[in-house]
Amino acid sequence: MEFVGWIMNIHFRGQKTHLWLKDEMQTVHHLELNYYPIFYVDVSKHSNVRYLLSQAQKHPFVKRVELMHAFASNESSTPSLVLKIYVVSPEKFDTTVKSFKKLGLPLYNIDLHPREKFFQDTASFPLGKCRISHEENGDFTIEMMDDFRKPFYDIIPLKVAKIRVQPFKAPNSVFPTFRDPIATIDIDLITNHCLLDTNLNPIHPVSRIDLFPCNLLEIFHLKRDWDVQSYRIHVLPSLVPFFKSLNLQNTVDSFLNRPMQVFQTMMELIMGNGGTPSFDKCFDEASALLLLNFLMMYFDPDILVIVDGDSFTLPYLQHRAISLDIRLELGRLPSRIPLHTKSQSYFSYGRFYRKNMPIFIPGRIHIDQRNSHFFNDTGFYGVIELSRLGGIPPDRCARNSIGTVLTAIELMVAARSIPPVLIPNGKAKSERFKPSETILASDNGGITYPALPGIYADVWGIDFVSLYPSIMLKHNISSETVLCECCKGDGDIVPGIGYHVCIRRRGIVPMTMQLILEKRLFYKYLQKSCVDEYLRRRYQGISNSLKWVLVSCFGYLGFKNARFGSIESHQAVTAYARKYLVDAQHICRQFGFKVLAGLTDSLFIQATESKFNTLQNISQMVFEISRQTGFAINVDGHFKWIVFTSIKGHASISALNRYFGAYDAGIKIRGILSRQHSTPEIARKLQWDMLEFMSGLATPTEIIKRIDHLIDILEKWKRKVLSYQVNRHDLVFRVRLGKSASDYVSNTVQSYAAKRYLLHGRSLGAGDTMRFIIKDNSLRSIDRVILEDELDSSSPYDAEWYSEYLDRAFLDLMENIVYQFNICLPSWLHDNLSDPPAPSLETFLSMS
Amino acid sequence: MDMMLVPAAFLSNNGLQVNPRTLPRLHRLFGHWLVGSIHFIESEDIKSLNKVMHSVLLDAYTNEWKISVIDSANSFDPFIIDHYAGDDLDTSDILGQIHLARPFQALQTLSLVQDVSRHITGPFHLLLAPSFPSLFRQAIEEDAYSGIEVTLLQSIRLLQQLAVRGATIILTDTIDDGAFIQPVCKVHVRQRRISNDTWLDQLIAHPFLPPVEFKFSENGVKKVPSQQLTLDDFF
Repeated sequence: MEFVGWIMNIHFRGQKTHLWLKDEMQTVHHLELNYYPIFYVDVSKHSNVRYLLSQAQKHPFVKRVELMHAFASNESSTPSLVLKIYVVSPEKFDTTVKSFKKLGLPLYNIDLHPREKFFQDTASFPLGKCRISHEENGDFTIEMMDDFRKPFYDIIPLKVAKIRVQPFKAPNSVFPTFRDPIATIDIDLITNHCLLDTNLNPIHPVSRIDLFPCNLLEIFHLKRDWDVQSYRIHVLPSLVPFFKSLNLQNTVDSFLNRPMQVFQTMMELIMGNGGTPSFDKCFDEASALLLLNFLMMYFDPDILVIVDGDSFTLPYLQHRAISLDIRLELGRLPSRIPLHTKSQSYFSYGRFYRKNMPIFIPGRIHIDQRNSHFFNDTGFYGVIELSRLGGIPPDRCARNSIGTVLTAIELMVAARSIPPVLIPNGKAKSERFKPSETILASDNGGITYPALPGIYADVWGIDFVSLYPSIMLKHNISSETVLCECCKGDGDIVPGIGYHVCIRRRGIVPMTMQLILEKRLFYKYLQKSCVDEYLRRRYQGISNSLKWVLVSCFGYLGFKNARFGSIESHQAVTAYARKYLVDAQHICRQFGFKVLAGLTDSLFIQATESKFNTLQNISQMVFEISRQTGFAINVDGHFKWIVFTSIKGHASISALNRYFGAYDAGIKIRGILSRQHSTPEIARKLQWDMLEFMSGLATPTEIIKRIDHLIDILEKWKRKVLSYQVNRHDLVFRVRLGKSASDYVSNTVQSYAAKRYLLHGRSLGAGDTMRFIIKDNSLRSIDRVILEDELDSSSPYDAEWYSEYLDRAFLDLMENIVYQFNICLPSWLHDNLSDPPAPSLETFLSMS
Repeated sequence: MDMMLVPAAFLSNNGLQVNPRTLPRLHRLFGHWLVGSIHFIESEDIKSLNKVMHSVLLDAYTNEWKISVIDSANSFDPFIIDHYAGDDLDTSDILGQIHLARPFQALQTLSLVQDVSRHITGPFHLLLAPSFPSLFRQAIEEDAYSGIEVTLLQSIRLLQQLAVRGATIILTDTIDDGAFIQPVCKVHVRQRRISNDTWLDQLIAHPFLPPVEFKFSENGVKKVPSQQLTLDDFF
């Protein structure tokens, strides 16, 4: 049989591969396939290939063997002779690979994730339109009718179910446990994903229907297309009379035209043995769970959005179901949901994160927005885009790190090369041995020009657009192209470090960058030109998802496990970036500007004379930089004034990445308290009040003149705090743990908060976020803090401490201006200033 | 040529104490005793271990040895070399003679050992590998790669072969007194009290072992009795 449609998801069970395909009529086809996973053996150095071939064919788990040519890893300059080995089933794959390892020959494509490997081996990708020819014996072929490179693509309407479960919390309990019975189950059913915004919330919310026995038929009012319904199932002991009075089963059957076993079971349970109703507390919970099972079968969603699904809800539901002797069936295949949540900490870009182990539901795309590193930035459409690009099932894609997604995209690009590039096991390419003097020169990173802390008027911010990815693209930088064997004498030379880059072969990384940069450019254009707000957000989500990939691609190039990365290629990118920033700086000077500060790919410049400070001069300068370097550069904006702040406790040392300033329209802030994740809302509000006022002032002089007003703003907030007139939730700190709660040895606020979580039965690990307020900073016990979950409108807090904290938030913005202009502050504020900056050499000499 | 096995560094109650003034003694050790052997230095004192590492490098340079460094800890610091070199030695030339590469995971460590083994053909070649077991330990703890123990075994066998060829190999590792560390290769005899207030960390010899020591020569590996040394042997 032949099916045309969109691949929804795949799942391996036993010898079979289950694939769900949704056709244009919106019918979901469940196909059981005989998928033969493939790996390769490099036999180019083997003396008797024929013998090897015949032996491989005799292996009990090998379906068939082919002889072909392919690039054995991206390092190879010429294709090698390889055996392409088809294994009888995914479950036998590891065993087969293990036995072939004994040959001692290099093996390829053996350590990819099984579901991604399916898409690699079949040259397909999820949510792509395809034609599947499916034989009765399970053999199949997939022909893609879609291209993952295409910017515009159709996706069949996807049905979405959003589930939120609320347990009954025991009195005195802060956090719910698996022992607590279910209180309510909220279910939103959406027949078309286009009715949802990018965060999977209905664009036009509907009022929620409280489901009681008397109005249970409401669930059948859902239309087939373009409908949104929202239900709340209350766990109440009153379903039985309703089921007794109505023959609901016939209604259901005629509507769906298929046997309703779940519904029958629910009916039987509700009716009890011999038709005698026997309900008690658990019985009602059971009927709610069966109703949930029924709704899943009746509505049959493609996407299942479960709030806290991985971390709590799914194991909780499974726990409840087992205790009630009910089988929870949320997937399109029966599956057992794990009873316990697992989580792991990981360290990325200087910060710990905590990730829950994913729970996949066969046949559906299960998304837990809170267990995704980038969902909040990219939204659903960003996930779809990355899923298509990388050949990663969407439920896995939403939970993957961006580096894993980038690798998957690179693998897609490599696999589609002609001849294909095979993937070696692990990442064994190390840095090359070099004289340590060379390392000293090459291992330098990007350029930074720290500004002298203080306020500056009439400053322009300019930055290169996607500089690092563009360098990789333009200069063909990839692990296999930098210091390649083929271009030792005549390759392009990297400035400053002398590495050569291949001029004969295009690297995998540049090919990937080209794909992503072009797509992003396109979506950015769509985002800017689009009038419809929801479409604009959708394009913005896709653009953001691609931006995430671009942002991480440079760091990933030097990452230890990056398949297509190497230290040398990483160093080559920074060497080029240093050159281009220095070039840009020279051009700025030629046009009459001085550089106040610079960071990697951006410069803050100020005209040396007012005659240079014209739009025409700026635009000419930007054009010249782009022309000479070959990279697009943006004018970020013209700051009426900008403040570069210092690091904590050292007023003369620039913090580089902490500044704020007022554009001609708007404010830009980086690194200050308001931008920090942990800052309580009250400090954020204070700083925004100050910034809004300051943004109305045109020059630094005006700001200095109006400093009294800024102090008034501070005093207003301090009065609110001291008179207990603030919302307690505005006082909450959000602190990410850097280690497990049990590892704290000193008595810090964090350690007390972690211990308080422990007291309430929640053990936190590195990467988990604690939310708490300071109750009494003088105490040295867990009563020093109160957790956000314990808060009510009259919870006590340490008003004095918060008042001082507001002083620090004020000085976070103003300290460097105070020092720059020797402003006299009230003594209560002055005491909180850090040490004054060291005198300049000139001042020092004049003093002596 | 048979070689005697001796400690390459020592610990006192104040930790591993090495300063540039001890260099002549290290040089003496190098020149006469350390050829064709594997030495494993463990210490809780990272800073001192780092000092030892850099002074050993300088010592090998002054004796015109070839130098390779597999720096698993990214701990090589050219400024320390510059400090130790003082005015008498040309830092640029020293840095030019030290060939260094940094692995960031265990497979890369093996790859670098394989790489260096192609270039070491005889004695007067120092291979220094700071924090050598750390990446293997990390991989085992994180269960990052299947068959990592085999990779470790391969690496150590290669190092043994290099030692038999006459290379001097110094591996280091930091140990944390309090924390449990998964042992991945035990290659040294632990500290011994040699007087009431002095400890000697005797350094050796052969991986996976033991209270006895091994020596390497052109005729293969031979078991020899442990050397009992005191600090007086150094000073």
